[in-house]
Amino acid sequence: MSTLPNQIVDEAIAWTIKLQYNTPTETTLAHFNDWLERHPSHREAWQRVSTFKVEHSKVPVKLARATLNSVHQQLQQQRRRMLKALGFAALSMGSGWLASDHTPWQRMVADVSTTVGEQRTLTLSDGTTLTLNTDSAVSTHLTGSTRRIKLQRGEIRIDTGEDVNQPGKRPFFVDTPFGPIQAIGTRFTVRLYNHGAKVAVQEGAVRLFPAHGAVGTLVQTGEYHWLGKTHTEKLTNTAMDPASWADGVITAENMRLEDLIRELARYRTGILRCHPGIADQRVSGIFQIQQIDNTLQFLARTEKLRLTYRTQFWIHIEGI
Amino acid sequence: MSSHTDPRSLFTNHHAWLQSWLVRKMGNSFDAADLAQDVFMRVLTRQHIQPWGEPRAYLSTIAKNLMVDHWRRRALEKAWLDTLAAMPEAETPAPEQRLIFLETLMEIDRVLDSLKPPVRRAFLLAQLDGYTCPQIAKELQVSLATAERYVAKALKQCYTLRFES
Repeated sequence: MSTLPNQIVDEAIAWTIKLQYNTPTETTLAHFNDWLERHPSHREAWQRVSTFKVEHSKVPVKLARATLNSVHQQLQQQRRRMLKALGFAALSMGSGWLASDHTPWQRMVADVSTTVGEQRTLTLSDGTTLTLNTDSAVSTHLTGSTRRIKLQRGEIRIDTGEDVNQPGKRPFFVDTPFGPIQAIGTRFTVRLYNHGAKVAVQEGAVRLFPAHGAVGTLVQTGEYHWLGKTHTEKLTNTAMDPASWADGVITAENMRLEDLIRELARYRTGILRCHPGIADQRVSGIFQIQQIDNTLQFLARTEKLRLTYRTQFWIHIEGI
Repeated sequence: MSSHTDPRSLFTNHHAWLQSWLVRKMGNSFDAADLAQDVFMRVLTRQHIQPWGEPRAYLSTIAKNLMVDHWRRRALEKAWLDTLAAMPEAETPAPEQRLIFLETLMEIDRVLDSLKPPVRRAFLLAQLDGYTCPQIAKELQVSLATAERYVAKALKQCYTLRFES
């Protein structure tokens, strides 16, 4: 493995902070592209540095936290033995950092999360099936008198379980920044936006409680509602099936091309930019979300579009 | 070249001594034999120039570092197996993924060990929970520039450990 100059490694790290740990603007991406093209060693450094986030985020977060906590405790116990064997040399064990960080973690940590382009399905201890869409995070609290799942980022589908291990079936809530959603024996999806959440019920019913609202709103099977901090609202837009992502597809009916492309972009790192001239073109069909680049090629063929790859992170889409 | 820094003469003159030194320290001849082997591998593949001086002091310094690695690794494997055993089966990863995850955790663990507490927390939020720098800044109540500096520092450490050690 060749050694790269320190300065180039630092530059690559600065870019990865801008691109992977912030939301990059098009200008940033353009500058990044210039940097990448300037020298082969830039590309090499970028490839090395950008893998860390991808690889580390694949480990299930609960497993990772529990293992790291437990290894720390063990090492504390072994410390005495090691100090003796090593005559105090070469030791840098730290001092109880996991223990002191323990309380804030319990609060702030997501149990389960997905990265861009990833989906994950889990069965929880009460029998509930939880599916996370791309770039999503939840924490679960299933041990109290109510079962609660806090949606921190992105989108989930819930298929509530029978909770058979408990004397009585406990109420089930999904908490969002805009207020809680109570499930009533049910299957439903919740997606967070900046100023509210969209809730769609496929089976059973749910009740929405806006954080600053007076009363709850009942959402029945087949309905689709907006949950804001102060109010709820029934939605009528049916251009896209709100739940088909859980089956790995976007189902579009007479959908604006720009809207479809914006949806596809959620599953891919970087920017997909739609030319204004084709934004209002209408599309119908079923689009795979596992291999977004293939889906884009397919879309380009059927809708007569041209894809221009400015970088692998930045694609322009326009009419032919 | 001096006999002190010629790897072959290091091996013939000091291998037996190093192995018995390791047996004494570790109380286990299998691990000691493996580690002695690793020490000489390290000497042979090392890119930088070996220090002049007492070769046994040089060898035992490398051996001590490898012993710490070895114990950490074993502790992590045990913690990993305990954690898996305590989890509901539905939440455990598929067998083919486990080795990859374990290797990843070893890397994270080694990086964490070299970082100061606030940087560790930022690193864990960034890598495990998928937080962005603005989210980390909010969570740790520091400025965005500080959050970015923390993450950059941790990434530099990842890089050094993987590509330069």
